[in-house]
Amino acid sequence: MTVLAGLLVLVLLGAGLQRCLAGRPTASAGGWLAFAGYAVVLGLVGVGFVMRLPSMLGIEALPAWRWAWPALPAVLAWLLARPVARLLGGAPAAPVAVAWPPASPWLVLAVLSLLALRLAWIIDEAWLRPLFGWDAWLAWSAKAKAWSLAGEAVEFAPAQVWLEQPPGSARISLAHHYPELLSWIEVWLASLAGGWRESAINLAWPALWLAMLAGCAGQWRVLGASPTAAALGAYGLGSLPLLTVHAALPGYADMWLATCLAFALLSWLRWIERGERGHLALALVLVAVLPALKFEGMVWALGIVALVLWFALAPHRTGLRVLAVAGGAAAVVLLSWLLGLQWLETVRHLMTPAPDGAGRSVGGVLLATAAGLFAQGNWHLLWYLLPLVLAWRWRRLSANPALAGVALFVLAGMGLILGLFLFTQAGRWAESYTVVNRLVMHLAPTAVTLMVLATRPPRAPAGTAMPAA
Amino acid sequence: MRRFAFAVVGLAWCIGLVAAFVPLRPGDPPRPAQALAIPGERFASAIGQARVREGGLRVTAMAGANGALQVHAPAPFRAEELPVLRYRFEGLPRTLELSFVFRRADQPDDVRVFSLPGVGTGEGAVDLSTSPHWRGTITEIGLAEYPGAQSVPPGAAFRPFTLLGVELQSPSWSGALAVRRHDWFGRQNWELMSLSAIGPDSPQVRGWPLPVLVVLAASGLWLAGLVLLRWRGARAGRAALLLAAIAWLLLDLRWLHNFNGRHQATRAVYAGLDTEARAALQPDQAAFDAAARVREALAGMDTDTRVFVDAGSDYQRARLLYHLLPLNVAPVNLVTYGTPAQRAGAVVVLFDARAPRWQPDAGLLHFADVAMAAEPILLDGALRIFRLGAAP
Repeated sequence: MTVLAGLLVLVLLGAGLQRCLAGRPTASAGGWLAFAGYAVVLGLVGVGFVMRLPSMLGIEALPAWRWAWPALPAVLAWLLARPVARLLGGAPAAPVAVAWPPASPWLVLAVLSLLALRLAWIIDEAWLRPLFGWDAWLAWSAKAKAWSLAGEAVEFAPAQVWLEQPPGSARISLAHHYPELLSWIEVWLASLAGGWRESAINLAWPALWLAMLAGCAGQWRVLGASPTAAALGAYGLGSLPLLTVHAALPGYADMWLATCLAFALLSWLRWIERGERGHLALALVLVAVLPALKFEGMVWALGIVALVLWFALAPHRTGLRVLAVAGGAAAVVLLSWLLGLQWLETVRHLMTPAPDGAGRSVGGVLLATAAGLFAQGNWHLLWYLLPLVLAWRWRRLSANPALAGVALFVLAGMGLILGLFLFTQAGRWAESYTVVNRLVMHLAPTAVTLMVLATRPPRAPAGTAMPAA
Repeated sequence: MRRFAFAVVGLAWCIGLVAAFVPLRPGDPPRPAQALAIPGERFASAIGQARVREGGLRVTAMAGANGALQVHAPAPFRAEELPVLRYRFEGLPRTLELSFVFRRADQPDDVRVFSLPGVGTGEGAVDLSTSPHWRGTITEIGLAEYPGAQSVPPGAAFRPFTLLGVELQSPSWSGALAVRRHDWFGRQNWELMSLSAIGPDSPQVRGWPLPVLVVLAASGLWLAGLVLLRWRGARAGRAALLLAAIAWLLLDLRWLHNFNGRHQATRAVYAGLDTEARAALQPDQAAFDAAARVREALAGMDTDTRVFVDAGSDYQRARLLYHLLPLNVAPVNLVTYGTPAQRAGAVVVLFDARAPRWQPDAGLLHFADVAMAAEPILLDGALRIFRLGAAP
């Protein structure tokens, strides 16, 4: 009963937040599918922030029944939904008036069967096997377990601080400086599970995987993709092996980052293409979540903020656009420096040559990256097909600046990852294959989105509703 | 006629690609010219327990986490002449990793290890010439089975199985096909690397990967369609989409097969157990059990007390820390032991770790900087727990 109540709280919070920011869902199957996917993700992220709140206010104790806390913001969100949505202009635009032929029932059946089979195995694997991956129990779950079992949110500190402060005033972990949102989400899940039960906590990852598919597929439909393209895209995204692995062997933050990144860009596209201002607010909220999940999230967040600024200004004022993007990026970096945010320190560390002189070999990095993208079994044909689809739909992309912006985002992201490995200490991680595919994963749902939306015919909305400057 | 030509060209292209990717070398015969077949019953158990039964060697027990090893000393032979290894098992559990071990005449004290894909019931094949150590005169061979490191609980990994036999063969087309088939479609288990790279779950891509073959096959068929069937415009686009979809589906069906195999290995260990039993069945069982004893020994202790933890390996130390939460634990490799004043009154947990040295007659624990009075809380083999006194 507790579990059902907790899940209801989670969904109500996620749906309420979405209702607040983006208003009612579009009255279509795609609109509701997107709403459901976003509700789960926003709900999970939301309970994490709610768990974090008391310790931010200096309250360390974590009383029992903390799984129920998010009920309060959930109710608040629903009470404020209408006025806030009205303020943000969150009324949904009308569904795209394109008379698509329905997807073949056989295709839908095949896609659903393949995804359902996979989901069943993913859930079973996540439920049966205790926490598996190193980073899972070393970084994210260690803090969550300590907070949950101790019932207090003690700060995790560097070694010197731990040694110098009175015993008990701080804890230590090898990853004490990592962002903590995912750990707080696990604190809520543990509370709902009635204790530190890894099996139950693990199920958040299959749920996230399913929410990612639902949210993306729904948004693709709302944005004008055909039912067939959306079904094939959902299958393509759901079949990506490395994403399947991250759903089945829970504990890592990469799929969370990939989902929030794709959702943010899809919401941004809804603002650009359909003029739904509420979705801009939703996109910005999701952008704010990115650095709270992983350090890399800040880099992706900067990219999306740059896109938002670029498209928020009039197309003919290129100089102003460049100034705004550069100024925005500089402001974020300056603010991070003033606040002493860890991501900047991580970037600085990576840019510093390795003290032992060890680093990357250009050939080794390129070979490892190419093997990860094209030769191993991580991505099926995703990275073969993406450039082909972009080349094939080049004219359509050129005619749709927003989608071209997403394409640029993906290409720049891939370039950034490659540059990171070629020109910094991180090259060693590429050559050992420990990081390259997990970084690429952040862009995978966005890449599939790009392919699906690039196949839309010209009569689908293409930057038609771009707001005036 | 054009369709017939397309079919012929397409088939030839695909066969040619498979031949190139396997690879089938023109100079090799279809069947091996030489072979050294060794039935399972000729092997002897070196680690674990086994008995000969009709048709093979029945392995009935492992030696704990060390697994099992069956060895055989054949008449010495040249490695270069017999590079293809084919091995047959019956009921080899999915939870066990498999390795081929061998000894060379020029290095009689060294045992070389070559990791093999699992087979369950059936035959596996590998090309040993990919190992730089497979050369010279081979004097002894063997097969080792052991629980997957950091992924399978040692106590739940074993089920009795039978080694039916191995055969070392000279290069041939049939051997090459068997090797590649096993490389592309053979059984794989979860490894830590699986979260970073899969298929293979290792930094090394062995041989020609299947995705590249599938892409080349689809591209060739499409080009053949453009030339021979005169696909143009929308038709060419539809054909490209169809070929891409089929290629993707083929790769995905292979992945589902692979994923299911990994999942069945998980089910073999954990299915049917309740939540508590599953949580107590860990790949690092020794560290998990040690943590339970530490918690028992420290029951009632103020949870704010500093607990310095050290172990014999990074993995053991990190896992011990995780299992000991929410105690105020710290890894010694990260924090060191601090100053004597900082560690005064703290608890030291040592698991399979030599330092600091304990001097029982004086009641002193010798750190690198100073010896401190300590009270032993638990001294039980690899696990030692001390409560430190005041700083000297």
